Amino acid sequence: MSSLDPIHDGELSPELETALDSCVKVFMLQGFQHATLEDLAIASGTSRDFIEGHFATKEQFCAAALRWYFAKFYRQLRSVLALHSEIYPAVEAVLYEFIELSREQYVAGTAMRFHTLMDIAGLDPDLSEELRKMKLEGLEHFIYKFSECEKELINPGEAKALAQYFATIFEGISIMVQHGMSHDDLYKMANFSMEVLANHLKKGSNY
Amino acid sequence: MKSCDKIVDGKVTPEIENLFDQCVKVFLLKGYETSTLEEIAEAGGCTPECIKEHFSTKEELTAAAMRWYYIKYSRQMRAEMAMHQDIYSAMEAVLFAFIEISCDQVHANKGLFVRTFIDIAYVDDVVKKSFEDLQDDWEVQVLDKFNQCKDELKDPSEVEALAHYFLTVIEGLYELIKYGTPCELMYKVAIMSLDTLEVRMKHGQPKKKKGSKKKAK
Repeated sequence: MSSLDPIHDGELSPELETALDSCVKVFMLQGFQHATLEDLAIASGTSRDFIEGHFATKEQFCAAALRWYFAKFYRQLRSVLALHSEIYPAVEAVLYEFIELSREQYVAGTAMRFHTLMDIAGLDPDLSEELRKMKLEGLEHFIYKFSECEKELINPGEAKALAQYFATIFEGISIMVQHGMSHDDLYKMANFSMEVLANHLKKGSNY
Repeated sequence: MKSCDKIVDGKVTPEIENLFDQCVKVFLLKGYETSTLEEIAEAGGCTPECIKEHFSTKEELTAAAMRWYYIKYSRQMRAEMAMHQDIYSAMEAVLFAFIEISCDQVHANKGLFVRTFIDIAYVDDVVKKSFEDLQDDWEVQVLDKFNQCKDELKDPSEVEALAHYFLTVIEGLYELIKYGTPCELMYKVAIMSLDTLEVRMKHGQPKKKKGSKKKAK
């Protein structure tokens, strides 16, 4: 979809991130049905021509915004995951990176209404499917890492459930960041969760 | 506020429950600022007169709907914590009850819209006050239980961090269930999350609680 190209690689300036967030606020206050591409242009501080040049419809705009958010996180987390061959350091590094990325967004005040955007997407069948695929894509990559390393586990059959446990922790941390949890406490939560993984590793592991 | 007293008592009629569930969809599609009580009434299948009898403004309805979302969970959580004396059993019961309520909501095609309510709270002071009170109450409940049971822990100074850890897990469970993770898998995740607590308890997991009904599933 060519209209998504400008943000396909996940690279957006802080100004554009703020603009996207303003657009989600428009959806929330004026409604997805009522908001026009012109409203989005005003909210984002651009022109109608600019918006219409990139997005033919509101739905396309929403899909692009969702993709931007996920791409930004997934690309970074995926590269961190790939840096470590053993599961413990891999998950630990991804958790820490996730905290840093989420905190960065919280401090910058961007993507604050992302859950509302996901709820809007959930009410549109096409967007809902798009969102489901994006969520699944991130999770599958994580499950794959656990499967790759399943021999490190006492019970290799638990690889998927462990991946889901950490997906739960990621989601939980993301919410806690928005509730303003301190940097130190977020790391404490991450370290608590690493104890669960350590508990499922074969004896003789260094963790 | 007459309409909210009914909700605190937990005696909300199915019609009002449906109205609370539908109102957030109306806000998302038609806008929080631009939607009217009439549009919400229509979506909820009741007359505007009926809705106005209970709620004089949209803000009042929104605050009540948010309170209903929270109370549905917190009443059950409170009951579970009261029924289980030791902290491990209490947290296990809280997590299982949370999963059960959330899964029931999903199976009944009810949305899990708490996050949108919270986002609305940040643009509406009436709703925000309501949200902050509920959030504090939720946190205090869990923290109180940990404080009651702190002697069960090797290091009682960890009560606050452990309470926050379980609140983090609960927030995560909510999101995963919302996006369709099978509930059976969520029970496994809940049991895994309890490892962190078990290693911190002086005497580990209470024996009688091993192999609980959900675990056996």
